Amino acid sequence: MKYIHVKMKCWALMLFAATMLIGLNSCKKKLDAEFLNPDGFTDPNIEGFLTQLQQTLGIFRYDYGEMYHTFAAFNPRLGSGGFANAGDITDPSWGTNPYSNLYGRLRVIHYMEDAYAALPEDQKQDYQIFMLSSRIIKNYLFYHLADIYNSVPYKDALQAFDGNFFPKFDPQQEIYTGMLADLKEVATSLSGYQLSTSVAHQAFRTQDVWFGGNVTTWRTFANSLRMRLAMRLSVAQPDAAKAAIQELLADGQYAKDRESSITHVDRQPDRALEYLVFRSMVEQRGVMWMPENMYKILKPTGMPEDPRLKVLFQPDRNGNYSPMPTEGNDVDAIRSQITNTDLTATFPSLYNRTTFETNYKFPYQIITSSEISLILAESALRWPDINISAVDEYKKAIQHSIDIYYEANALNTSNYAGKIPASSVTKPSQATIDIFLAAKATEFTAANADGKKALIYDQKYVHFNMMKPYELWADTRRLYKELGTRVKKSPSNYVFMERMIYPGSEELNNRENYNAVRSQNNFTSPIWWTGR
Amino acid sequence: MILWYDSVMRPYVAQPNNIKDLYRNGHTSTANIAIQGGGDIGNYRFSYTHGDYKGVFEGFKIRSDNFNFNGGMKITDRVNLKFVSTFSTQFNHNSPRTIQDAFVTYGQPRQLDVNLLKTQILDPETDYFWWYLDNRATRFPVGRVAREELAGNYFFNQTQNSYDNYRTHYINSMTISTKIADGISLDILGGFDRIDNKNETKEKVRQPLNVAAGGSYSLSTSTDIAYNAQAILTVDKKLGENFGLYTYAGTVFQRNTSEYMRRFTNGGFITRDWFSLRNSRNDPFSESNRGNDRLYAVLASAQIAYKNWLFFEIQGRNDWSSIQPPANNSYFYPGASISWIASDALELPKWVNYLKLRTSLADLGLPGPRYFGGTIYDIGNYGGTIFYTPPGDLPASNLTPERRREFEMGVESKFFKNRLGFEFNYYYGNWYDQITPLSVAPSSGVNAVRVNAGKITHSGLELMLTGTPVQTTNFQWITTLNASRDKPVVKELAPGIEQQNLWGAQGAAVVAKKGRPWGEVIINDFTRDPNGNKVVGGDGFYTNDATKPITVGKVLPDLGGGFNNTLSYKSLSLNFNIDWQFGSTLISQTNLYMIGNGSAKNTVAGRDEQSGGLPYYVRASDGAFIGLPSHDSPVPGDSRYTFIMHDGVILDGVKSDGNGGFVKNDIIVTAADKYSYYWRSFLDIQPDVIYKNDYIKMRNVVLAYSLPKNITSKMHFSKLQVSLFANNLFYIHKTMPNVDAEAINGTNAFYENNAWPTARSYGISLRASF
Repeated sequence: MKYIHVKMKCWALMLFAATMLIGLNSCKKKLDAEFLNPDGFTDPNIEGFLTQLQQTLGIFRYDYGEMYHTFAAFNPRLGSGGFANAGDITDPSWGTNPYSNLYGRLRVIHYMEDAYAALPEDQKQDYQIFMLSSRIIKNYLFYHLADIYNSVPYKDALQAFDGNFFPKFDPQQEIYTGMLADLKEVATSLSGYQLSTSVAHQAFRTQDVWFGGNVTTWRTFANSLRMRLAMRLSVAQPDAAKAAIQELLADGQYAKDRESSITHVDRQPDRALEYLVFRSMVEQRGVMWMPENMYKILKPTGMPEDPRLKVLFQPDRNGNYSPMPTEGNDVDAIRSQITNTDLTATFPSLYNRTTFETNYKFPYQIITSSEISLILAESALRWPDINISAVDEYKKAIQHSIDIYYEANALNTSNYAGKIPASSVTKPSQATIDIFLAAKATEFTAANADGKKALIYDQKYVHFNMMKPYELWADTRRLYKELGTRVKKSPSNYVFMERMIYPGSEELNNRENYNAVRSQNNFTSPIWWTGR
Repeated sequence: MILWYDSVMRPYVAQPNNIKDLYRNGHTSTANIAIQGGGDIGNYRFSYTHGDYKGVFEGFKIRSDNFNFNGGMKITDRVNLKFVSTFSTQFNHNSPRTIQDAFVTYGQPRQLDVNLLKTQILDPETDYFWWYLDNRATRFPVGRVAREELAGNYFFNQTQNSYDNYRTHYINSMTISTKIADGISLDILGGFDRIDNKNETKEKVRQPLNVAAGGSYSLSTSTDIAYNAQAILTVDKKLGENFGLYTYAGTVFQRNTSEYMRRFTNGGFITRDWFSLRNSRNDPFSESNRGNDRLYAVLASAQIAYKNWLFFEIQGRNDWSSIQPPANNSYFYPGASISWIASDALELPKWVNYLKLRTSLADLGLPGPRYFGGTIYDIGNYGGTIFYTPPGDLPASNLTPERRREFEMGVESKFFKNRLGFEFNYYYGNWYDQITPLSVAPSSGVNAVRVNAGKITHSGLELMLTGTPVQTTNFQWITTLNASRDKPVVKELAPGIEQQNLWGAQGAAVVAKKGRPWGEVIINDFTRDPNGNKVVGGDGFYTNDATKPITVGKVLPDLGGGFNNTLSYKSLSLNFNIDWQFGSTLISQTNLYMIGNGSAKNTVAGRDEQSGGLPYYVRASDGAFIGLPSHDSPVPGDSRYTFIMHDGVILDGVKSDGNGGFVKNDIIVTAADKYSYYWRSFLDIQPDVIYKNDYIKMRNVVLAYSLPKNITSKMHFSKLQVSLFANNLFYIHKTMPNVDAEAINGTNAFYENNAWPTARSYGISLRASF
């Protein structure tokens, strides 16, 4: 009996041990195999990262979510969108806070840098073009942060990967100096740069969804951006601004015409009503009425009508171009007539739906020759010794603006529901445009220095309209010191917003550094380059 | 009589049932039948339960069916088979979602007749949403909240739309026990636990499709299965006279799989109310998810018993988990314990029936959430060009398993012929290397950092007192009091990170801070002068001082427990259950909003002369409020209006005197503005909506009667019991006003935000056995 017992005991134990050993061997492979999420990709490359950066909503492509709130906050405050003003005092608010999103968009640049550093030395030369273009985009994102929040982490930012979780806030002045220097360095590196037939450069041509690998366009973009940023310094650091603009004039490669203007047409028009800006325009029709202040500029008494009136706006139910008044009292007079239930018969006029809301081929205007010409016109006024004709640049800006908006309007050939036939406009003859431009030039020449600057601002107001709120906001804040209420197109009951508050996550997670900038954490402290 | 929003003249009166009418009476019914039997070859038990629940919210109902089988069979002399199987299905229709604006933030207008609103949900001719037809939204200004939230998102959604969840849960396990030899046995167990969920959402079109897009249909399915198998070899032997050895060793295998897929229409319906994915204006969307993980383990344990009153046990287990990175996927954790039945070992006084002391030290290793440790990218294409998206968190590098080490000691005792029982347990645990994402500032480039972080110690105690204070032939009183306390303290988070935000709102946060108890509530104090008086700003209102955060308490309680009593007299028994808790502090959002929208009783103060309001008038030139000596003062010449005001309030405190000093505050504000203060520009949570959440609650009462044997045997029952019960009766003591202290919204325990009321219920139950 004992014998059998022992045998059974041994048997059982051996069987046991054997099962365990066999099991364990095949187990290890299965354990390793199941570690990673099967729906996650593990083999990315620099080329794909660049495309990711470019296609991210909120850089060139507008983001529905952000624009939904931005239209609501800024159209009234910049006067770029009419709305049924109830007359109540309205404090600044935004409904969204772009801070985390902007830093989030910068994140992939770190991954590009990591991947670049891991490349073998002989390939680094080829892939350098990816790193140069990503630097331009990095500065493009940082200037938005600086313009909205004044002081933000810049030098110490994006260093979580190195264990630095508490970046300090850099003053706006240092950020601007840094950005301009960085962009200048990149522009220098790109000067005369030629793409070869290497694998990396072939990939660059395909993966660069903005410019198709055109290095000249990249350089134009960098230089035009430098011009835009340099002009921001006109009040706080006029010498630096002048020097930069002179340098760029000498360089010559910046947006001067339609071909060199930086624009982007969205490659996913089928998603327009899901997450692109077109959806925000549909949902924020309440702030898309024709603003009275813009109407006064487009159809001034005693002067020819601006050709852009018909292409920026569409007629009301009576076939007229009628504006939404600015002040609450004036809106009261027409309040009972305001309607947009039937989009073919609204009162008053809306922004032109053919040009904007339903135009999924609309070329997003990143930096246009129109804007550059206005910058040059203003430079000529501030620093006459740079030798440009302010009035010539002024006329050129208006001509290019007319061209680009008529072009956009003509791109939309769809017969969408609620279309007003008059919203598809035939471009007037060049002779008609020339008469109009001549009248504008006379007006410009007759004005005094400040008056001229104000007219340039008016053209930015028309050209940027509701499509470029960040740029219009920047110029309004910049010129306020010199021109005061002349650049205030908003109703009197709307408190102006100088900047945005920091998100709570900075206070909570970066408390010490946040405390250094706490005193400016409000909506009303003017940012540094406004000079106020 | 005034003109109501729907152009009908009706009296302007308060509607006292405006909130109550939003809900209806609900009911629950449960029926259960069970049969069991057995014999030489084995035994079995089978039961079926059916439940029906109709909730207090419009449209909400649940139906459930549960089948349970449990059986054991003797296959041979040495081999036993046991089988347990449970199959349950549940159908949940329209469980209500939180509608913050209507039910909390803005409150219900006191003049809103909810029964009238209920007739304004469906347009009688077309069955579309009443408010979207005939321009009623513009013509009848009832307000966005009443129209979109109450009429739309509550009544219309709950009565016209379907938000259905079908859930089946199937659990099976089979155990084969083999007696190999005397004292040696082998148990092999295998089973699975499978949950299938199907969610179907049908949203009707609210207005004609040629006016606006509408309607949606979505279908999602998920399957989660947990497989489990283990083989344990047990040896139970006596070693000599006094010692016994009980040891086992075995292996465990676990595997979890999950799959999820959802498809939904995009852009609204093509044709009205056909709930099909084919009825999608644009191509339907789909999203999906899947994952697997597995775990292998070997374990062993040995227990030595001395004379059956002293036991010493030691155990060890090693796990290999696929969730951990391959380099660190093996982890070992041991444990040891000693227990001593003193009442068997020693000669104790007669009144000590049982006394057991035990102590143990045990380690535990855990793998963390599935896929947390890997670095993966998303892939996409933009107009045909491929791109890769990096993760939003800083990926984990070299993650090790989470660890816990717990020390425990306790005593179990019974006295006076088991009429008094006393159990006490104390533990101290150290949870370290916790696998958790730590949030960092967004400017550092990531949302959170994935690390082994955090060392949190838990110390606590558990106490249970049971007793039968009264025991006579016919009457008996059994009582149980239990109490427990758990105190987590954050020892460390991660290098350089001193604080993690568990929950945050404007000017308030619940944090885990190094060196402090977990879950402390921090808010910004009122701005105060050097003497501690509250300072009002130029507008007469308090402000918060963001440079002075104060800790006002912690969200976890100091002590909590229950008190259960059963009094029985012959066949009648009364059982009541009391729950209690002390020491927790919560921000109360419900009270915050109730004060802000004027629903709370304490907002009456200052409203008019009778309620203590001050008299003042509004100066025409600048709108300033100037105080008047009495409520009967004549209207001054420079008054903007032809009457004076009676709702003035001066907040207690000081104001700046313009020279750096402070004087008593004399700025008048309206009573209404005083209470809606939290709507000021920064919406900071003010210290006066922080409440201690102490309570003693009468949870339920059951009165049961067992019919006597002579009656039951005539009906062929062996036992028949009728009982009446009531749940959620009342609070004996409560420190947080106006809300049910236990009705935390969802699983968030960091602050009080009860959009929904809890329900009190009454019922009857019948139990019969044959």
